[in-house]
Formats: sequence, structure tokens, C-alpha cells
Amino acid sequence: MKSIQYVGEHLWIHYTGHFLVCLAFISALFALTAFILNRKQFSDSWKKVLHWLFLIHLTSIFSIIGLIFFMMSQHYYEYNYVWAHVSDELPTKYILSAFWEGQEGSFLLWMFWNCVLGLFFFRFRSRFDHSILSIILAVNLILSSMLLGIYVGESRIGSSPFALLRHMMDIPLFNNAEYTQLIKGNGLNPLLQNYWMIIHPPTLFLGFASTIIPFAYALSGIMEKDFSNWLKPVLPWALFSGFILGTGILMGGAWAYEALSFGGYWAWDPVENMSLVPWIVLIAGIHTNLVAKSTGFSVGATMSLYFLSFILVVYSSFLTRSGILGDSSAHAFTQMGLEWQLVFFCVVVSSIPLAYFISRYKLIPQKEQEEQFHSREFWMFIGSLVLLFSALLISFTTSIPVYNKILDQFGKLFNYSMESWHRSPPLEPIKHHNQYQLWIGVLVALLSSISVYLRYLGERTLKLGKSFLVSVSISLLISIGLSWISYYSFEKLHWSHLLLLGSAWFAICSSALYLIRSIRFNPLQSALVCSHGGFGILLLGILFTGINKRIISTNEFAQRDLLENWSEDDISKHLTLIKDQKMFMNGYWVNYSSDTFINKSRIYELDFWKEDSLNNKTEHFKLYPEVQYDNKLTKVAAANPSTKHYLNRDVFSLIAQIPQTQTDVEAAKKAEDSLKYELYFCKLKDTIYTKNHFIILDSILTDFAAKDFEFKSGDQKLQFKLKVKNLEDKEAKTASPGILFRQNLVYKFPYQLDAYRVRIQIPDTIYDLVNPKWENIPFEHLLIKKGQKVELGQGKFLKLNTISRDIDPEIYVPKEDEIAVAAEIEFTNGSQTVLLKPIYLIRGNQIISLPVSAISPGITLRFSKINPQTEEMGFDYFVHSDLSKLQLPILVAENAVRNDFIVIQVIEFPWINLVWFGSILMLSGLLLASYTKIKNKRDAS
Amino acid sequence: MKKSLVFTLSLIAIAIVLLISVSKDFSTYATFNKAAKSGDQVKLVGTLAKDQEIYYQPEKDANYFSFYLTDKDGITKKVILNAPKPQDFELSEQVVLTGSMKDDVFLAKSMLLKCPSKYKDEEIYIKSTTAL
Repeated sequence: MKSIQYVGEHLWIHYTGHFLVCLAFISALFALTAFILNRKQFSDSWKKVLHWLFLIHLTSIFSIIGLIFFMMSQHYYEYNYVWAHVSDELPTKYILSAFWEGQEGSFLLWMFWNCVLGLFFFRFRSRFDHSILSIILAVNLILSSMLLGIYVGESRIGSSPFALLRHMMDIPLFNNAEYTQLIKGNGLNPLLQNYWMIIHPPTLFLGFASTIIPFAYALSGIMEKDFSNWLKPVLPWALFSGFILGTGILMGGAWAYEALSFGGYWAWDPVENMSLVPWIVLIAGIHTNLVAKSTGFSVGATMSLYFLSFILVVYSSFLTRSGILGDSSAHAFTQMGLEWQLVFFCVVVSSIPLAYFISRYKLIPQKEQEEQFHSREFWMFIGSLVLLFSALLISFTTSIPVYNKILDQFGKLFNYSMESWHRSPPLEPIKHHNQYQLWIGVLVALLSSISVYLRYLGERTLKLGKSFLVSVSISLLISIGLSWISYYSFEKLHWSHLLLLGSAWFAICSSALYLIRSIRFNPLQSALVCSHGGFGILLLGILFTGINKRIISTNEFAQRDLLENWSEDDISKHLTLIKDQKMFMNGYWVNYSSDTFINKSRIYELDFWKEDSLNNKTEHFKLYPEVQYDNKLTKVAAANPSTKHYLNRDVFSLIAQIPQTQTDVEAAKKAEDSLKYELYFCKLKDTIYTKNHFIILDSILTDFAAKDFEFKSGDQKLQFKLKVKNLEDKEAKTASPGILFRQNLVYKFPYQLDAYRVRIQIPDTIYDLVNPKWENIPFEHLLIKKGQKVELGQGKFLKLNTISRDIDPEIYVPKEDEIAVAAEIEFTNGSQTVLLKPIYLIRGNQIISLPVSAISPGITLRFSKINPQTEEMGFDYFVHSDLSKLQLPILVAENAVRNDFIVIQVIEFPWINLVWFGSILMLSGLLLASYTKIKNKRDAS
Repeated sequence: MKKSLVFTLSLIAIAIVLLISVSKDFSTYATFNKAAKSGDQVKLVGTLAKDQEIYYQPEKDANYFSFYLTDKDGITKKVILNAPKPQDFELSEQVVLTGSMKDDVFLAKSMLLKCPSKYKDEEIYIKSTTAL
């Protein structure tokens, strides 16, 4: 194959980018090697080397990111990554989203945060810093290998964001040396063109990345056989990580609820699960860390939990990026051939800490005496175990596809298909997880309340004595009362829910009481209260919202027999709404009043109201759910919900379906083609009888307006006002089809009467009817001066307004050897007036008069003579017979498909604000604790 | 015996009991024949029979969507889904259903579609179930 000299490529980015990726990889590799070889005696000169290698690495990562942004903003589509994620139409603010839409971008985001975190350690201020920095660089080494994009033998290592499109695909387009002129970007998935996509991924990835710090502290500790000195500095980091990862997960939930079609904030989807699990383990680790710091118990547990948290982050990135979740998740990344690299990542990250842990297990300090039953540390430890169990259960179920894959790999060895052994995820994942996590919730809430009252080391608790009993009984009493009230104010609660309810209230009451009884303000105590109380509130919110979620868009009377033995969960969740036909559904009246098309979205206006017994409207509000079309406007790509927020409940609405003719262009065309139009002729005020309807031609208009259509001057418009009636109805309905002629183009404006399934249009043959073929026209002649008005008989007048050589380029553009003059003529029949612009054209010694016509009042006219001496202009004209006297053609189809309906889903979420409030409170507790610890440390030094 | 050993052993025992009970919820991928035999709720993977009727008339019933699916054994049966028809349904490469057989018809409660996208190798997933 001969090589082609391509034009218009920006190859310097390709080479610079590859160089930078290699530089990032090699600098991290050197750093790691230096660390491993000199680990025992890491002298200051080696620290200097590490310092500079880190800076080189950081600079290359930042430059890679800068380069990608540059090529994305410049739309260099010769690059695969740019082509795949950006398009010309994409607004600049979404370039961020486009950047981390792909795997390469999200790996870079992860490395970016790792580098930022490294900045806190690269000055080697305390003894663990150099090993933490080395561990961060080791992780970045593996991550940057995912971007190498080099071949070793047959297999590819990594996928480069700087790969050229022509290297990724083998299509004839690349035989064209100027192919860059021809390609356009794919653009960002419309679902992701959303402000959540700008803020959610960086937050979540900072959360994921930050779990490396507790991991690295624990690993450094065990490597240096130091089991106590890292317990204190790690704590603010672990708390921060818990805060930011929690925020990332919460944002994901808020995104799903506010902007996606899930109809909820949490669906126990594998991808969601695998971001939650590391967080749960981290929170467990924070608790054992507190124990270890204060009492010396649970050092080994803290280490294992911090290890596990980061291992789970890596495992989760394997699950979401390897394509293994294909059958079970709605939003996993797609397969990219990095599976084995990801497996390697998992193996490295889990085996090294495990090896250290086992070999040095004996060195981990163990306290001689056992934890006492009435000590805080004992119950905190139990609480951490419960959290660990929660994480274990969630990951166990989520890993089903992994078991299948392992079985397959195993089967391959024996050439035996293991498919019959495959298991699929639970049929009802939400129910499955809820039934276990409910008990976890009960236990965690109880433990978190109890441990608030207890003190470290049992004796101190005993000293509290009476006051302990008083506090516990007061909050128990209050929470029993509150549980009872809330139990009876909600219908659907099961007895197991009562337990959760009780423990949630207990957690809230205990925290509140703790705050009240503490004498002075102590930020750490407040942090504890926020987190534990927030957790209680979150549980209440989950319970109230989850159990009492009410489908509003359901019509109990329209259930089919088929569904007789289906449970309540299976009832129809969607309802069809016809435009302007108000509908009652589960307590609300709803009316679909209009829809408007704005910038790729069709926005629907839904009116909601309630009526009291006197039919007065109460609680009136409007919702605006929308459907979003794809970048080429040919198909519906996404539905965006709209939610009314009240303090105690939300009303959530989503468009589940719109008429086929509006979902995609092809379907619309097909629908139009399948219509059976019949041609009828009709005079003004006459009636035609179609198969099922009477149609009266009530009036003929020469002007009309149309939505989403730009009219121009010189457009000739015609519209019929028709009265349509079927045999049963007394009142006739109006239909007003239109037609527009612009130069040689015809635009039709058919009118659909959805109630009758009738579609009416004016055929374009009407033009010939009112404009006879001009060769045969019996023209009359007329001489007229500028400004003069001439009567043509029957109350019709012609007036010559102006003569000019400035010709509207829309009408005619004279060539070089042509002289053109345009006249502006006003023609009126008393009631209607039209402006005509005939042209007089001199080409060489030839004179051309182009005829122009108006439909109503009908006239055909040409500019035939100029007499410069007398300033008289000659025109040939022919007055058409009035439209009102003609038999006019009308096309009627009576099998039209309705297109004035939508299918909606409306759900009421009671007390969902408690979910948000509780989570935010819980997370702010973590942040406050982290901040206080950092501040205390700074104050101390 | 040491207290901590008892404690550890009991933890492991709890974990095993829990995991076994959790795994009872694990399901298998069934075929139409298996689903008909058991009559229970199952998960079923198949491909859309494109030459058969796809029925959805939202103006009549928004929650009635029927089509024909061919399972792994090559058997084609009618499926009724109690939800609106998802976007791009016709383009789906693979359909994962949850539901049960009744009188030769598969009644589906939820459906997960696997669609080829504009990319060669990339696939996008569309979920048509509602959550929490």
C-alpha cells in the first residue's frame, strides 16, 4: 500500500502527547524503582530525586490534560478521542464533560487528583511522606500504563488518547489525503450534556483517588513496622476522603433523581454499589482508627479496612471499565481491551498489602486484655464489623458477573462450556439489597446511638453511672413516642420498618441529647452529632420515601385482566395524556396544555392541581418535563424529568413516550406515507362529504402564522378555514391547512384534527389551478406611470409604486451583461392587496419579461415595456377568476395516527428532603471533623 | 479457648450463613421452556424477532407493549411488557427480561436492552425499569 501524504492533520500533538505519556510513565517507574531499592535508608539525596521525579510526572500529566483540552476545543477530529466525544455543535462548557466521558479521560482525571494529593507530601515534612508519595506514584504508574497505547507483540498495552482516527479504523475515507475536511465529531451523548456531568465525575474521582492516602499511610506503617505513629496523621485524610467520596456518591444520586429517567435516587445498580462499598469500608476504618488512636485496640483492623477500601476502589474500576457488567448495569463503561491490565491492577493492589499483613501479623500490637463490654471501643468495633458485613453483602451480589467470568476461564482449561453454571443477578435487585441492608441500618443506627453514651475504656463509662442511664432512657422514651407517631402516619409500614424507624429516631434523639448535655461547644463532638444524627435522618428519609413512594400516573380502573395476580409493585406506572383533556389520577388533576421546541428539546407544559369538594382548584402547579433529541435532531435521545419540590414531598414527572411521528424523522415520514389521502373539490361555503365527516370550506385566507417557521417577504400564503364534523358531534371543529409558495418551492402546512384522526392538506396542484400556464394566457396591456393607479374593472386596481434597479437578490441576481429593472406593483380588489415585483431584463439585444403571479387576489403580470421619453411603463396582466368562485382541491386522510398525546410517569416522593438533608448533615460532620483535626494539628505545631 | 478465637469463628459463621442466604436470591438465565416448566419469575436473554409484530399503541394503553423474542434455544414466543416501549427498541441486539410464562406468553416486569451505538465497538445500555 502506498503511503498517503495527509493534509490538515496536527501531528505535533500526536507526538508531543505520546512523549508526555511516556515521560509520565517513566518518571513514575524511576520513582518507584528508587523507592524500592533504597527503601530501608531513604537518604535526603534520594528524597531530592523523588521530589524532582514527582514534579516531572505531575508536569507531564497536567500537560497531557492541557493538550487534550486544546485538541478538543480546536475540534481536531483526526484524533480518535476528539472525534468520539466532541462535535462542532457541542457548547464549550461541555468540553469538560466530553473530556471525562471516555475511559482515557477518566483515568487522567484520577491521575490528576493523585498528583494534586501528592502535592501535600512532596516536601517530605513528616516521616511517612516519601513512602506515601512513592505509593501514589506507583498507582499512577499503573494508571499511566493504561494510556500508553503501545504494542508488545500482538497485545496492546493501554489505549492512547492521542491515537489518530485513521489508526483506529480501516475505512476508504482515509484514502483521501484531505480527509480531515470531511469528518465531523460524534459529539457528546445528550444524556451527559448536563451540568451534573460537569461536577459529579471530578468530585467522585477525587473521592476515589483520596482513598489512596489512608491506604498509603497504613502500607507505610506496616512497611516500616511502625504501627502507631501514622494513626493520628491519617485521620484527617480519612475523614476528608469519607466526606468527598460520600459527596460524589450523593451527587450521583441527586443526578439520577433530578435529571435521569430512573425515577429515584438509588437503584442498587452495580456501578452505584461499587462506589458505595469503598465508602462504607472507609467509614468502618475511620471508626476503628478512632478506637486505635485512643485505646490501642483495633490497629490491625484499621489497617485492613483502609487497605480494603482502596482495593475496592480498584476493583470497582475493574468492574465498571472491563465491560464485565454488560448484562447487569445500565451505565458501565464499555469494553476497551484493557481487561487484563485492570486485573493486574487489582492483583497488585491487593496482594502487596496482603503479603505484608500476613508476614508481619505477629508484629501488630495486640492488647493483652480484651475490650470491655461496656466500653465505647467494643461497640465501635462491632459497628465497624456490621459496616464491613454490609459492604461484603453488597459486593458479593454485585460480583456475580465476575463469578461467571471466572467459571468460563476455568471451563476453558478443560474445554468445557460452563454456561449452565452461570448465575444472573437477583430478579429484583432493589428488594434483594433492601431486605439485608435494612437490618444493617437498624444495627448501625442502634450502635451509633449507644456508643455516643459510652466512653473509651469501660471504667469511665461506669463512672457516668446514673447520668448514662438517664440519658439513654430519655432518648429511648422520646424515640419510641416519635416512632409510634410516624408509624401511624404512614400506611404501608411493615413491622421490620418499625424497628428501623425506632433505631433511626433513637440515633437522632441520642445525638440531639448529647449535643444539649455537652456543656461547652466542642467541634469534634458536634461533628459526631452531625454524622450520627444525619445518618438517623437519612434512614428516616429512605424509609418514608422508599416505602411510601406513590405512583400518581396510574389508573386503577384501566388494569387489564392479564395482570390479575400481579403484585402491587407491578401496577401500570404510566398513563397516556391527550392534549387539553384533563385527567384525574390518584389525587391530582393533570392537563397537558402545550409543548414547545427549544434548542434540541421539546418541553411539555403539564398543569397539576387538586380540587376540593366544591371543585375549587387547590395546590395548582406546573411541571415542565422534556424530551431531548440527538445531536442531529433525528431521534429522541433522552427524557429529562421535572420535579415540583415541597418541603415534605416531591412530585416527579417524566415523559415516557411521545407519538412516533415526533420521535424520529423516519417514523414521521413513514406515517405520512401510510396515510390514504382522498382528493375532494369544493367551492367556498360548500360542503364535501368524506367517508366519515362533513367538511365545509368556511373561508379562504391569504395570510397565516406557523410555529417554528420563518416567513419571508414575497411568500405567497394560502389557508383554508374548514369546519369539520363527524356524524355524532353537534359542534363542528375547525381545521386550517395552509400552503406557501416561495419562488420555486412549495411548503405545505397540513392540519391534523387528532380527535377525528383526520389530516387535511391543500395539494400543490392548486397553484396550477389559479395560475394558468403562462404561454396561453390572454394578456391585456397597460401603460402606467410611477405613482399612478389604474382601475381594471370590478373594483380592482393596479398601482405602480416604484421602479428601481436595486433588485432584491432573493428574486433575481443580474449577470454581468444584463440590465435588470424591477417594478413594485400593488394590486388590490378592495378587500385584499398584494405587492408584486416583476422584472424587466435586457440581455444583449434581447428583452425578457418574467411573469409573476399572486394567488389571491389572483393576477399574473409581466413588465413588458419601458418608454424613457414618456416615463410610461408597459405591463401585460391577466386577472384570475376569484378563488371564491373556483372548485378548490382539498386532500383529506381519515386514518391519521394521533399525535397529540404523551405517556407520562408521575411519582410522589414523600419526605425525600430528609434524604438530602440527612446525607448532607452526615457528610458535613465528616468535613467538620477533618477540618478540626487539621486545625488542632496546626495549632499544636 | 480464647475469647477472640470464638469471636472470629462466630463472625466467619455469620458471614457464611449470610452469604448462603444472599445467594438464594441469585437467579439463572432461563429459556422459554424452562420458564414454562417452572412457572416462576426468571431472567431470560434473547433477541428480538424482527420479522414479527411489535405492538405498542400508547393512545389505547400506555402500559401494554408486546413483541416476539427468540431465546437461546431458538424458540420464539410472544412477550408482553407492562411498561411503555423504550426508545431504540428495534435496534436492540440483546434483550434481558425479568418475568414469568403464562399461557404461552412471557409476561415481563422489566427489560434491559443492549444496543449497538454509532461506534463500532462501543455499546450503550438502556434500562427500562424504574428504580426505588
